[in-house]
Amino acid sequence: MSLFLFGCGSDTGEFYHASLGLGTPKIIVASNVVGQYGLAMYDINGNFIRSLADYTPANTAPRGLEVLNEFEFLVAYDGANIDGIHRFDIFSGETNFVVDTNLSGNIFQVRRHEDHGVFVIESNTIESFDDLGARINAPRIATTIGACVLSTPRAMAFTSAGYLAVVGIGNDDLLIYDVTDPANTACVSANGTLAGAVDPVAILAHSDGYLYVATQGDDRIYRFSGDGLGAATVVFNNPAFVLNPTALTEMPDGTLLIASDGTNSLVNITTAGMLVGSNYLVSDSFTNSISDLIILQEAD
Amino acid sequence: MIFILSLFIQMASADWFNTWSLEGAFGATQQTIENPNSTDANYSGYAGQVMVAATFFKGENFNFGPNLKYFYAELDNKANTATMSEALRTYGVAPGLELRVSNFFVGYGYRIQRLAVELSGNFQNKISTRFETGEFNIGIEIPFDAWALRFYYSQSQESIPHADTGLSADSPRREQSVFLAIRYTFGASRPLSPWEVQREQRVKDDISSTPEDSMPRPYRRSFRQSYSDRTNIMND
Repeated sequence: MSLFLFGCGSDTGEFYHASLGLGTPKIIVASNVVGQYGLAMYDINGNFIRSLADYTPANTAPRGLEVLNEFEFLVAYDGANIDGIHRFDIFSGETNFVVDTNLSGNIFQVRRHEDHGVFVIESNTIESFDDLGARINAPRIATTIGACVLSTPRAMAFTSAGYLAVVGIGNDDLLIYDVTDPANTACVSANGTLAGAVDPVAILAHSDGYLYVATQGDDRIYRFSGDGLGAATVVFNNPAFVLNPTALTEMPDGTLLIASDGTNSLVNITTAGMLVGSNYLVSDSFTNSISDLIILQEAD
Repeated sequence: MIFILSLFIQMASADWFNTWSLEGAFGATQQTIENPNSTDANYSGYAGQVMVAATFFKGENFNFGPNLKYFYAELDNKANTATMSEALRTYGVAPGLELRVSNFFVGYGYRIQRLAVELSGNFQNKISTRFETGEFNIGIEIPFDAWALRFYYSQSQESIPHADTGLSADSPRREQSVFLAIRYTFGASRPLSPWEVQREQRVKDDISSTPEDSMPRPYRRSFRQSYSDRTNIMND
């Protein structure tokens, strides 16, 4: 009857974003527990929504997550036989984004910049790809460029100036790279003020302009200036909540969400170092050993 | 809503209305909701409504009056797949006004409605929001004594506030429906259609007319006299 009355419209369209739940932010975590590799999704209040993917059968550990849009993100995975990057849709699952035989080292975090491409940590180098998954340079950032030395790098973030900030647990340096020219990456600065076995494992370029760094050696959250220069100040130091932090991200309200491996939880604190609420935001089997976490939300 | 209903009842008790009608309608409906990224969610399904209508004024070829209806529509997203589907329901009440001229009518309703969307399959979610909007109707009525068959088109359009959905922008929504309706009008004072008026006039003419009416005036007196004489002879 509808066809008769309204014509044979062939535009099937899409689902309504509000019914897809895209109006409310989601927390995605990558679980790195051996035998329990996978992705899980929570609402912004920490309520478990569902398991998104099980990476255990393929014996691949999801190590890095990066937001693409309100329902898609990248997953950098390190496998026993193969490494790569998936493009993951929370409704339909993963598709291959990068399958490259040269991507065979120890894979960790993945980051994307609109102009500079997709960057992924591979052992003591950083590889990069364009938005179609084609490799750029080999590698994009070598182990040593000027004063910057990648030593067991674990995390990256693009600063407000568009530079790539990298932290690693080998030399504990905060490295700042200019990646504007794909053929000629430059070292902007190498900040060694964290030296002392603090093991920085996560870095966040916050919307307030500062860089926040989580360290496993002393279980703290540090704040650096936006250009990564100078000494850091301690923002949070309470091992009862943050013990062996592994990942860090910014909540929609500007507070910090920290994955704490030692307490098997997600912890929410303000940038002033105050705990939000009176306890962990989440503590369950998926928050046991988180390798990375992101927030999916609609762009403004 | 209670205010509108009580106003309706008070007007009725004060004999403001000439006629009362009850209508049931069923039809097909299509809705489109625009996402913030300018893509559309398209739905199709069925709709039904029941209406109480009255008339303030009536004439041979027109009437005008208020109505109050309850409406319900159930639709499926055209993008539904075997693994994920989205169902949309809208329901609510709408006080309105309708003007009929000859066999054609136009109407406006102020909808107070709830919209509920349920996603099922791989991903489950429910949202529900309440808002007001206007609807326009245009149609044709074919009367059969107290009964009438009506066919009409209805359209409404508004934006679902982003504060209700959490999305980054309001969601423009368009709805189009077509209805086939049956209406029954209570009492004898239902306004007559043009051909009903003509038929009643013909009947009236047949009853009131005598052979004398068709004669020229000078002959009417002699006719009445001879008619009377014949009647008297027969009585004798």
